Amino acid sequence: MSSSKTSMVTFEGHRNLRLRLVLATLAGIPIKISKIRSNDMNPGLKDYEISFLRLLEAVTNDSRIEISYTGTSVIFRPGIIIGGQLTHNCPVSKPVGYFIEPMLYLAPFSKKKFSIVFKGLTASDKTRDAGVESIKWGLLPIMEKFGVREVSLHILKRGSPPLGGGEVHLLCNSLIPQPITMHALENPKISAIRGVAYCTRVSPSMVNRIIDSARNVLRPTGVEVNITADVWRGENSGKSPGFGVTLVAELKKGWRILAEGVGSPGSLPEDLGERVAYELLEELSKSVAVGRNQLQLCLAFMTIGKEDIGRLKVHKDQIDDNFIHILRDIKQVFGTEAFLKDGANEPIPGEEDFMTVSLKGIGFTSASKKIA
Amino acid sequence: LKGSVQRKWDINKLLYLDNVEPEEVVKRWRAQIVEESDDESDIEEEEDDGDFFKKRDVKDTSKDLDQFAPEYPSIEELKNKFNPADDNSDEEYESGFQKLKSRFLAAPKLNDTE
Repeated sequence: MSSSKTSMVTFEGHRNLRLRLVLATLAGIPIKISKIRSNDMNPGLKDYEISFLRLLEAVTNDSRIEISYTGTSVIFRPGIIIGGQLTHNCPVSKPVGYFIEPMLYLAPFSKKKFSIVFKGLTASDKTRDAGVESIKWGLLPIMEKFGVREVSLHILKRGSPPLGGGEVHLLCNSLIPQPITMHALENPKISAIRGVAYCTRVSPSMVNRIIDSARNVLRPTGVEVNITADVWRGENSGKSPGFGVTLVAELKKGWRILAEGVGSPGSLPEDLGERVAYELLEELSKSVAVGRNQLQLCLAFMTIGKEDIGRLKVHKDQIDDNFIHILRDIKQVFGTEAFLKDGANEPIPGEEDFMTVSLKGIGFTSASKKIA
Repeated sequence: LKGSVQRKWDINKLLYLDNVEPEEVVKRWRAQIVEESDDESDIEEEEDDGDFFKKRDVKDTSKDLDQFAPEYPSIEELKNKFNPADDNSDEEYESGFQKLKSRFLAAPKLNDTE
């Protein structure tokens, strides 16, 4: 790794922009991303990507960002992750989850504790970015598996699209030198389905309609289905009316698999509840211990773990082009390769649908520990 | 061999090949038939004057390639997968839940009328 620290890693295009920047920050190597929407009618970085770069600059010390005149290429020279207390105003083109998600990769390895208040949309019907509940119930349990236990996310105000007005507080009290090695090789059973249906500035009956329709779909599963109604009124309910739902399947040994949705203008709450419930079933049918939306965090933490081989059992349907893009990005930054073992070659019946991902940790040490 | 990409590949050999796009890796690994394009033919097709000014070989870059949630099939497809058929036979229901129901700790009997 010593030689790679001086060289610059280069990428093309806007795919996985946040992941690439975050991995480069963890690795402490400069990164150049070129041809960002270079053939698009509106070329270059979007407002939310610029905002994310500014956030990255704020949580690190001595980072340097160079953006080309057209915005189609960016050079990022990362500094040390310092964290601290700050407030970030997110543009309304993306929900706060877009900005919180990459911070989870950096927060445990910071010099100071992360305490960031994000202001903006708490959910969006236009994009497929993480909602606040998805992060709270889907990503924080994954971090716990890697030894990051004291992370919390509090919704101070909810802000529905288009105007937002929400506030979310991310607090990471757990500062660790490196993630622990994880072995997730079993196929855990689903013990319960929980969720929250929320609304802002609309009739509280909306959430009951979401809950009823979701329960109807999930009833044949036979497990306990417990969906909470969360109605926001007054100043804390943001600037726009809206509703949404997040459903989480609780698996044994603390694993969680989730699906979420946000109501669009004119849509019916019944349709939303039904759709998200079916999407949860679909996600469960294609998952083992980790859902597709949790894989990226899982693979990144496995990579920066101790110099030991971590293993994760995945469903064959989870191996898609996005999965391969993530593995290639990880290799380009850290130089480590994953190995996939086909369950069909195992003597155990019923393993044909699964594969085991083995990934060797690079023995990463957080910058704060290095200085100390 | 033209039109005969039936061979099943070892994904570990394809995973980090820079000259193979990830979408292509998945196709080859799943042994899906890849239709060969007719690029080899020397005959140029006649084109309209209007097409002359159109950009070619430009990938759609407007798509968000940095999203959290995966894309799901349409609600109709999901309903067909997880719901019983109308003709009182629960074959489709069985196929959708077949593997999933064993994962629930309290899986119900399919013929439960309650």
